[in-house]
Amino acid sequence: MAHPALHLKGIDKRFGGTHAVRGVHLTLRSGRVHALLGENGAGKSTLVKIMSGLIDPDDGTIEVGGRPMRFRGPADAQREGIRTVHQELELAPALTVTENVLMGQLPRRFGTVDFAAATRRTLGVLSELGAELDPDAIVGSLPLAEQQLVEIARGLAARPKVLFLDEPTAALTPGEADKLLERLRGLAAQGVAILYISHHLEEVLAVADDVTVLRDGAVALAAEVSETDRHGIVRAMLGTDPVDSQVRPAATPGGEETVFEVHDLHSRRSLDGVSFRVAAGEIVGFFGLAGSGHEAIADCLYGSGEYAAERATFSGNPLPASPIEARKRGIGYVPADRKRDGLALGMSVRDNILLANWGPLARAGIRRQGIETEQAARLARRHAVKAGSLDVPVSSLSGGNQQKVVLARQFTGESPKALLLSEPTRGVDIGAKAEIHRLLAEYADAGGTCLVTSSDAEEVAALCDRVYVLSRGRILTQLQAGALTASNLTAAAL
Amino acid sequence: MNPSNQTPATVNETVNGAGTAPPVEPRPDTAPKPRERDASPVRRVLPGAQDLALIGALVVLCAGFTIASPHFFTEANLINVLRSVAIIGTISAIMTLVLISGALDLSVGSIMGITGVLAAVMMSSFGLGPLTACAAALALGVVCGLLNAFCVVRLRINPIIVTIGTLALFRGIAFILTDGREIAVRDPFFDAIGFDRWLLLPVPVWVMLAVFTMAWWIAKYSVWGRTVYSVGSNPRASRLAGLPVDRARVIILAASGLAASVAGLLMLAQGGIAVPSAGTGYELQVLTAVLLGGTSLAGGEGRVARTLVGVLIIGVINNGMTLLAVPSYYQTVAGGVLLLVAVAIDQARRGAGYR
Ligand SMILES: Nc1ncnc2c1ncn2[C@@H]1O[C@H](COP(=O)(O)OP(=O)(O)OP(=O)(O)O)[C@@H](O)[C@H]1O
Ligand SMILES: [Mg+2]
Repeated sequence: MAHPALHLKGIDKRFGGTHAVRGVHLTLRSGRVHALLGENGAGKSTLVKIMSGLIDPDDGTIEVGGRPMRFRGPADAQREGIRTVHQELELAPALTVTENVLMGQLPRRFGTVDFAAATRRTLGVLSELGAELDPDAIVGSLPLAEQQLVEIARGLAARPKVLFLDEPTAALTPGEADKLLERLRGLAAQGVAILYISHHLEEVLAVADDVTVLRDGAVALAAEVSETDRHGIVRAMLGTDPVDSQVRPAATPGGEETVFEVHDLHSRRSLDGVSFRVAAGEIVGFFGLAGSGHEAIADCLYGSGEYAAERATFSGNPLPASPIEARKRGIGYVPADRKRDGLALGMSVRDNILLANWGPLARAGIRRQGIETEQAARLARRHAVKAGSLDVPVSSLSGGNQQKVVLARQFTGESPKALLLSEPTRGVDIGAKAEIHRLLAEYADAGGTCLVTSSDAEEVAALCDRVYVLSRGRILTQLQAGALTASNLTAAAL
Repeated sequence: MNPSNQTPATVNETVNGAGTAPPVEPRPDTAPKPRERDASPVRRVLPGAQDLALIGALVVLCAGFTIASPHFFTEANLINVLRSVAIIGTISAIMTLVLISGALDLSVGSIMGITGVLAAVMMSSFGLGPLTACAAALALGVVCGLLNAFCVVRLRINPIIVTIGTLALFRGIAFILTDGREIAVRDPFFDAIGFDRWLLLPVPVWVMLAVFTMAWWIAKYSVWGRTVYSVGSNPRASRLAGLPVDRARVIILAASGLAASVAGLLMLAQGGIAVPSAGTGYELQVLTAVLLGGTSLAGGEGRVARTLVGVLIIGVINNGMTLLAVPSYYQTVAGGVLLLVAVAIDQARRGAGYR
């Protein structure tokens, strides 16, 4: 048999006290899609970083096409035709879509960049993904889902021999994800070896040929997809049988008290006359494809985005003018892009959980570190944050655990009146996701209000009482109770 | 890859002090920078390693000079070392907080000049008492800092650029105020500050230690200190989390101006003469000390206590070279080398130089 495209033997990696990867064997073959699964912190991203030359393994060998290799940096891996779409996006925010997609391989003519050809190639790659993006847009100004598409397009544009995708669909809608999966099947048919990481099992079962499950850094299952099933995979991930989780038994009707009321909301480029009302105790979803404008709603309500509206109120008063005011008036906010908008990456897990809540825990401006630690530890436990200790920098946590830190922060002080959640469980594994949904349902049952913008149809359907479906900055329709299913949502958004 | 990607926390904040210019052209071989590559386990297990290295460097220097010169390790000389660093030390303590907040203040040397001159002019031309003159000088320092802050917070100009501008501006005004002349100050109050000792140590050394203690306490134990770290680490996330980002920046730059005016007065007291060019180039010495102490130019990281060690290292080197009669040109060279070493350490520590 031909040599595998990439072969890992006994890869091992420790970070201080954390044994992130333990003796992993993994074989990627040309023409096949290989799914890598596991809970948050199982070691998936670490393994990908090792294979793309970003981290040195402590032990073990990497073989590319049968030759043992030692990567001294990402450039070495790229020279072997290995490309990576990282979980935490690695884009140059000040550059355009084209410059990002073709980074390092801009077409040249007479020694200068041939921008016309570059734009054409970018459009080509993007259209294969079904993405309608302006190739001249500055990447930093795009919403998360579109940035994600840019990152994916960059991986594809390089015509890789081996392609790693670390949770590429975490911020994409099912429609966009389907296009990507289709494209990946096409690439595999052309002989590319693909490694695919996702917490969406359906996707994985649909697209993958082989599957490897990691648990606590070690391989818990390695099989062909045809030999196994959803149940077997989940059991390998958890190490036990999964418990079924029913989030909201029945859609709960909102109370009398109006929390948010918005009439004819416009915001530059994204919203074009949106009206809605949200009552206390409700969990209301906003769902749409990338670019439909649903991402902008939370920003307007939180005072961090510019808008115009005929009437827009929170608890009967005008919407807050700034995040500071929003916090004071009891609005919590979970941004879609945790790395850019949510976390002080160099600071500790403790500081990130408490961020902006040091004041209420202090006495006369003087910190009480005992109380801080107690609070942070309690919240970390409640949200199942897996971290070596509260003092490690939050950047050393796995993606899903970083997300849990941002969520936990919302419950530091007294419980907020309303929560604005964008992609609240992006990158969170299925077990922790059910737990977070349970916490949010509990919060709403106690009278709290949740606005959820998510591209995850399953999540929105499971979590929300009713959902507004958006397209091109307008509300198309509203789904509730019986009609609220993932497939109806996806159909309505098209 | 955009070099600013090496400091993920500040990538999208051009107002930030660490904001780097966009690259001329994306380079193929510098894909995502691995913070991880250098995050060696050793460093996590031994958080004190960096402190040990710093203190070790100081001890080695002292030992070297003690062997090389019989005059180095004497009480009088060691106090001399402290006296000589009191001025840059006073500014460095606050500058550490400035860098942690992600900003930079290059105008401190000029603020020293302008405030010293103002105090002298008020006493010699207007016949005001020394205390009134000092109060006016301190107020002027705060005003200078507030002007910097206004440009940063309201006009959204990068603090490096702002303070390069005000560096020239304040210096120019200092020359205009005195018409380029020097003004002698004969006053018992200033003489006392410049030359008296309390409990063995000169007054300026006590001032420096007091400012260091305050800055250290703020960074470690105050709520406001957490805000400063957070703003420097990720201003965007801090703002969204509801922290008063702009207010923090205003306070920090005003404090920097105040510290510089204190330093300007100390210099006036020690020299007995107000010179419009006083403090020229001090911003670089201050920066060297802060960076030697391991504070990151990218914001969000730094320890006040380490800066004190950085200050002492500079003082010992300058003093030792003077004792060994090294010509001053070479001392200038040493200062430059030290700054480069400090920045190189900063880069190596973060595991991502401009490759
Ligand atoms: N640079 C680092 N320093 C210290 N610990 C680290 C570092 N990077 C990863 N870890 C730890 O290694 C473990 C595995 O992390 P990894 O990011 O590989 O998880 P993952 O499987 O990708 O999880 P997720 O689904 O949440 O993305 C985690 O416990 C994490 O905290
Ligand atoms: Mg991961």
